[in-house]
Amino acid sequence: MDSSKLTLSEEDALKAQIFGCWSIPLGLPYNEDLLVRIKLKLRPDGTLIKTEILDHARMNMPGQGFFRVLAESALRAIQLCQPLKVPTSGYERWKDLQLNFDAREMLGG
Amino acid sequence: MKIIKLLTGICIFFLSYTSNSFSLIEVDITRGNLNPLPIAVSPLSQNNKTKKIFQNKLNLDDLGLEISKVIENNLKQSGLFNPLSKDAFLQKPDIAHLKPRFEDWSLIKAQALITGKVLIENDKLKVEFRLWDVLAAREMLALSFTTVPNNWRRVGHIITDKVYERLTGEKGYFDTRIIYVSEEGPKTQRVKKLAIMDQDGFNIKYLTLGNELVLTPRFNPTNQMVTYLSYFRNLPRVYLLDIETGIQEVVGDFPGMTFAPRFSPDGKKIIMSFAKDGNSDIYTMDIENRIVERITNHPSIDTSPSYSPNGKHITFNSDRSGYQQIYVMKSDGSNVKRISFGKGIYGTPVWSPRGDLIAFTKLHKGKFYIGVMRTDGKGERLLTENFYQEAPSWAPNGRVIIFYRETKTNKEGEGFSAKLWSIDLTGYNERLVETETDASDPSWSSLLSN
Repeated sequence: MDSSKLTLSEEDALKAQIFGCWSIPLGLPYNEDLLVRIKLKLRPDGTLIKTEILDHARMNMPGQGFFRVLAESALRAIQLCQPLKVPTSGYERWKDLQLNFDAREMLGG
Repeated sequence: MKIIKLLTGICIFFLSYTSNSFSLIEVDITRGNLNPLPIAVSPLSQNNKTKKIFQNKLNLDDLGLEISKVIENNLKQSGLFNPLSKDAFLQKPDIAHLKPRFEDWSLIKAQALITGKVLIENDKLKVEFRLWDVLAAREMLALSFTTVPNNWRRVGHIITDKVYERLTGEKGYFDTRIIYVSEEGPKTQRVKKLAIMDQDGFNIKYLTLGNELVLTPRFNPTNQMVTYLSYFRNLPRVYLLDIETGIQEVVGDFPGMTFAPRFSPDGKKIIMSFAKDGNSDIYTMDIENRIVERITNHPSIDTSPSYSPNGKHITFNSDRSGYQQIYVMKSDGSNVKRISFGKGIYGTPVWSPRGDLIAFTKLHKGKFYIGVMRTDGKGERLLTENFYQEAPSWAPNGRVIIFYRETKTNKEGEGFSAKLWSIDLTGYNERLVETETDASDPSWSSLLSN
């Protein structure tokens, strides 16, 4: 097993939890390239120490309103979900996590 | 040699250990829930003195509460938000406006919160409001404005527009009006009047008396003027009406069948179709000098023209291919291209204010559809199907479409009705738009507070 990854069942449990917490902003355009990457630092119990939006500069750029809306919704989902359903062991492995939020599939369907 | 091998091995071990210890686990989140966002709209607070002044001036018990209800209703109608019941609110409006106790709002599942305050200053209504992100425990937006007290419903609409824009990333459409044809009486003897109302159905005004048949009212870009078609002694006339003053003027009598006058995006021209020598083509008329210019010249029937928002193109429908289809051309009439190729008959094309889509009515196998397609005709999507519906008109943000729908009569000819409906661009959130009377031919204004 690649120790740098979550197992499929660990990943599925985390995904399922966040799917339930993430209210996708229904007004977002489905045809724009919108991907928000958020880096998390976690405690062993799955609560948050820190969140960091990669591409944070886009949050305040003119014309990036949709990115900001998506990023804020993703942050709300993480807050709402915590403590995250993380594995019971191997803290060193997952204490830093990156979540990539992509709403295109849902909005374009 | 052994030592070199050992050292190399140690290096590889450390490199791989280092890389493992720093490699970041990534998880792709591609699904979520599409439930409307839970939002709490706290009544706007006011002190007792202000409350009494508003009670006297506006005959309203609690103006702050009434404004919050306008906002709540707008947000709910949009289909994107779920305003939470005020009965569950734990914090008083005045305290919440200063500093919300986020845990209280989080407890009732609110993800966003609107608070505010109303006061009277020099006989003017002053309103402050704030939008809060409950889960991030921070302010997202704070604004204030001053207006005359009678404008309090518009204040609710303007606040909704600001909140909507901040939370969805696109402009709102709440501080707008809808003009339509009000209809009363039996189907064979309908009395039709021009009527105008706020987009939420309040403040209805009738602009004509109902003596003459009126059709297809359309706003100009500044919202002050409306063009429409009326029959005088059985002759179609194109009128201009100033909504504020009520002053009306005849733009012209045109021969034969005249259809669907509509403004150009700069408001300087009216584009329409009329029949000259038995042939229906598209014409523009300069409002100032009344010079008429022919845009299409084809033996087929060309009608229902609508400009692109930049004024460079026109979409219209024509039966030049044998059946009525949608076409796009340059605004001088050149470079005509057919864009609809699906089964059925297409009509009433209207260019979206965003410029990316054209809304239309389609008739196929006895059913009427309201749909959208891209301006090159690709990506056709049918949003709603019914017995009879037509005349789509876009909300100014290009996200919602209003149209009208007629019901079937029974064998005795009873049960006929015509109502306004709205639908979201995604095909969700189909809603009846309440009007006092039956209604048809709606046209949505641009934002009043632009």
